[in-house]
Amino acid sequence: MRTRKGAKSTACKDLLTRISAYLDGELPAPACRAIEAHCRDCPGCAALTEGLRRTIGLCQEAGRTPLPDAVRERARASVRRLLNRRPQGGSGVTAPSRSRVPRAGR
Amino acid sequence: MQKSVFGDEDAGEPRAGPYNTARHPVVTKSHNLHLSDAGSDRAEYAALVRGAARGDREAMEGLLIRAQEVAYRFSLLVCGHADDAEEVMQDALLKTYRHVGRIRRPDAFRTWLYQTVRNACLMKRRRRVGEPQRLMSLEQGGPAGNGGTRPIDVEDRARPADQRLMDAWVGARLRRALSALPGPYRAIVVLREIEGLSTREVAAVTGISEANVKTRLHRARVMLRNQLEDM
Repeated sequence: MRTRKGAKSTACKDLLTRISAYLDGELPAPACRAIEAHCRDCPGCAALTEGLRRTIGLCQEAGRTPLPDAVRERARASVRRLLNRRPQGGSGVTAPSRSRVPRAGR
Repeated sequence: MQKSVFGDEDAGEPRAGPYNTARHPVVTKSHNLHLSDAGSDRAEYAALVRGAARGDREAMEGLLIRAQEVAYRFSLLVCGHADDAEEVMQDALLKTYRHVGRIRRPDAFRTWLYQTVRNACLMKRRRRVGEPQRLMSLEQGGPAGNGGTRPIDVEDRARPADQRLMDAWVGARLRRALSALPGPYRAIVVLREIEGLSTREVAAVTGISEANVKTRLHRARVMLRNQLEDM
């Protein structure tokens, strides 16, 4: 793992081992305050912390981004085809006899 | 590892349906799903599973659409192939449909779904590169030239068309940064940060301890941050 400038002191190494727990809100308040105090004095660790925060935010934003419309429509169409199949002589819904649900044209 | 959510894994024919058309209270939300709150997401899955199991067509429809969307996101982001993602979607659709009536622990459905999707991705990967078809965990690894083992990477290089598809969806920068991570680390990041699973759920899906999930997640975050900052 590559480390950044400043990750040399004991305090910096300690921060590196605890930064994910800090960002995930898993540390008690005193430990959080210690990390924040260290970051005020250490530009390298402050940059690392902020960079990780932005990285996590970027990932979470991607998770909230809608799938492409064409993919969503294919998913809906596949579900409708599956659920609209009815068993012979029955009124309910069963799985198709084929191993794959036919796809709509892409 | 969590117990299976099913009482009977291979009972053959589905027990799903018939479905009534009563509106299910939890399917009014958009089916385009990645929910920011993992707890409410898990609760919504559980409500959909319960509704589908008792014959609510709308709940079943919502559940199946979610299953496919999960399959597509995970497959494309972790494995990098749109064609495989489409097939993994179909697998997720049919397996969810067939199994929903046998689910005993609706709150564990999400974990089962991601395990199913991940296994389907691994099988696609093995077929693509001619690896053995039997299931092998990522931790177990495959044989290496020095007599030891090497980690299996579910990723194969994404083709330009797949890259464009992902770029339009999550952005070129994140796609390139994710693709630079070793496969097992990428899977952890996708499950935890993008899909919003808890550490415990990621451990159950990947078959490693929660402590290992945390260690890998931390390393993956640092690698990802370094990749992003170098772009």
